[in-house]
Amino acid sequence: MKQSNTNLKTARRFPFTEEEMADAFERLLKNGKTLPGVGRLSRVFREVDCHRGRPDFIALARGTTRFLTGKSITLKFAGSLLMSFLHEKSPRSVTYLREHSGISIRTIKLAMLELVERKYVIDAGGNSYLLNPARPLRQVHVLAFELKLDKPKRAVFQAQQYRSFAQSVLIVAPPSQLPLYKKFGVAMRRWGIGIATFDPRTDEFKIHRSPRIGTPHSRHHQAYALFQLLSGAAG
Amino acid sequence: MLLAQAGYGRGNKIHTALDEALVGGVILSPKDERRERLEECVADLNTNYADAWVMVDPQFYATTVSVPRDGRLPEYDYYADHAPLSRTQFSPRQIAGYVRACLDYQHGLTGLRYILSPSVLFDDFRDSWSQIALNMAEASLDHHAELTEAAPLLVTIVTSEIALRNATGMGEFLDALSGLDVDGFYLLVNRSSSGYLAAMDTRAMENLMYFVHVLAHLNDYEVVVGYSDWFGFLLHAAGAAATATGWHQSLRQFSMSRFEPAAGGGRRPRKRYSSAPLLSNPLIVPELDDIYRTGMLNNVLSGGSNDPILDGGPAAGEARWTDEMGCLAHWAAVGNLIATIESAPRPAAKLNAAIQLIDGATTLYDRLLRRGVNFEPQTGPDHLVAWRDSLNAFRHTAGV
Repeated sequence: MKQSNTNLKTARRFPFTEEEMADAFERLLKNGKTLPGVGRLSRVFREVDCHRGRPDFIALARGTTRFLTGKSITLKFAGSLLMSFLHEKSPRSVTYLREHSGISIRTIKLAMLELVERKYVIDAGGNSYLLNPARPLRQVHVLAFELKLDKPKRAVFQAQQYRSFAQSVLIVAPPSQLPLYKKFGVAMRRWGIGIATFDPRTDEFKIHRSPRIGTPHSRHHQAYALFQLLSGAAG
Repeated sequence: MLLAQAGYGRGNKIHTALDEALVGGVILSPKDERRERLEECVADLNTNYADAWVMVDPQFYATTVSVPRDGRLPEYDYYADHAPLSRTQFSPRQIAGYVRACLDYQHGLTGLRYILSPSVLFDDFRDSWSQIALNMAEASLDHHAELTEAAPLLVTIVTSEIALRNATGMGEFLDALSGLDVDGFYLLVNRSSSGYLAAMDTRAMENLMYFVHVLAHLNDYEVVVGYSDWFGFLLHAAGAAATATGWHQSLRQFSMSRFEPAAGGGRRPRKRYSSAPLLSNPLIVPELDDIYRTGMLNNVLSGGSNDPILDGGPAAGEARWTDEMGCLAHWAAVGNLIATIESAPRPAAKLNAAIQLIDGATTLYDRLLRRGVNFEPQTGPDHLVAWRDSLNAFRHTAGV
């Protein structure tokens, strides 16, 4: 859900605005009850920029929030990119990181200093680094929600982007829009994107296809998104 | 021939591209280079890549922007001594001064393939700015004739997509240009959109091809078109000797917005892959990744040396796909298209080769769309329709 002039046009076709729908959906996500087809959630964030788009909501599955006890970093883009090259047992040198990431030595050293200080990375000596196994990214289960009054093509495109950092992605649309998503069924199955309908007037939430849970496609963007959540930019 | 259109963050890209024969030369950008660094670069290229076409776009057109975002340009005397300039500051005597300073500076750089004349932007072939541009062209010719052992001169023409819609005005302007005793032209087209769009207005593109055709084929000038990116192959089919493209989107299409005050820092661009078979740059995620999931990745890869990074899944390989790799892959893809056109013997055969490339890309897009691959408008197949329409209209007009 993004605020735009299109809201004025769509308001004529829908008895509620996208913002009203998002507000109602936020209440539903935060009421502490199990969401059908999704499960129980512990933390909910609204409109966080994850570099791969800005989902209307990001939620963390119950029991997977330990990562969020840490602190964020300032060099988020470089830090998360560098983390994506690191492993828990096989150290990677600064030279290796420079060759494969395209980041300058200076930035690598600055980012590593911060990542080591925040305990995301371990200095293995000899200018090489390891991921800290005590703070595994895989422990977090991120769910991304894309709310759309209309424009199903755009919704699917954005949902595909969210798979870079989220284990599950769900598109939420008004009930009247459901038939329009048939056309995108093949692509949505390919990407494991779920579809649900939500009516903010009745608070009726109905899952039509559950999102398929899978590893995020990009470790870089997974780390970036989590640092964004940690930074307090989220609601 | 493909040239590298240089900008901010040159690094080693140009040297690597010349080593790998991905580009035939470079058009350097004073706006983005400290003066000493640019001069060192010219000297180095002259020493190590003697056959490369090295040119410096003086970017004098930035002088007419009232509050310009001109970067390093004030470090160059030919610019600093004059900018900013209003319309009233282009008397014949003043023009002669601007031209002298600009040409003398380039003449002092050893190893330039061509000297590029200073010019100004015009949005109409019949307005006063177009007349100023013609006056600057003539003054450049006069001063160039006085230089001893100077590199040949290309007259810079900076027009716009809007101006190119007017075929009648363009014809009159071409009559004036074709009377100039010069080696050739360096052509820039200010795009109507500051955001990247692969295709320009259909009529403007048709007329741009005709513009190049008249100068190159009918009048035997060397025509170099800057910032032409993917549609460079269409301009080669129309007769261009060289086209250029760079690494950022802002170096792939010319817009005066590059010289105007910016609202603030932009966000880091999403990574793209330059697909020669599609004649476009799909996003690595989700577009190229979706193509991979349909099992058709090999159909859209350009065959570059770094493609194996994406073979195992574009999303997984994206982190290793560095900006430099993306830039080199782009030059390789665009350069291969140009080589395909250049290998055709006659103008008609070049146009046929261009149509084949467009048709091949259209068929491939159709197959991907049937499999449910979701493209954003910027990377969808719309530009192919526009290019084909322009090419057919040009063919009809030029009688090729």
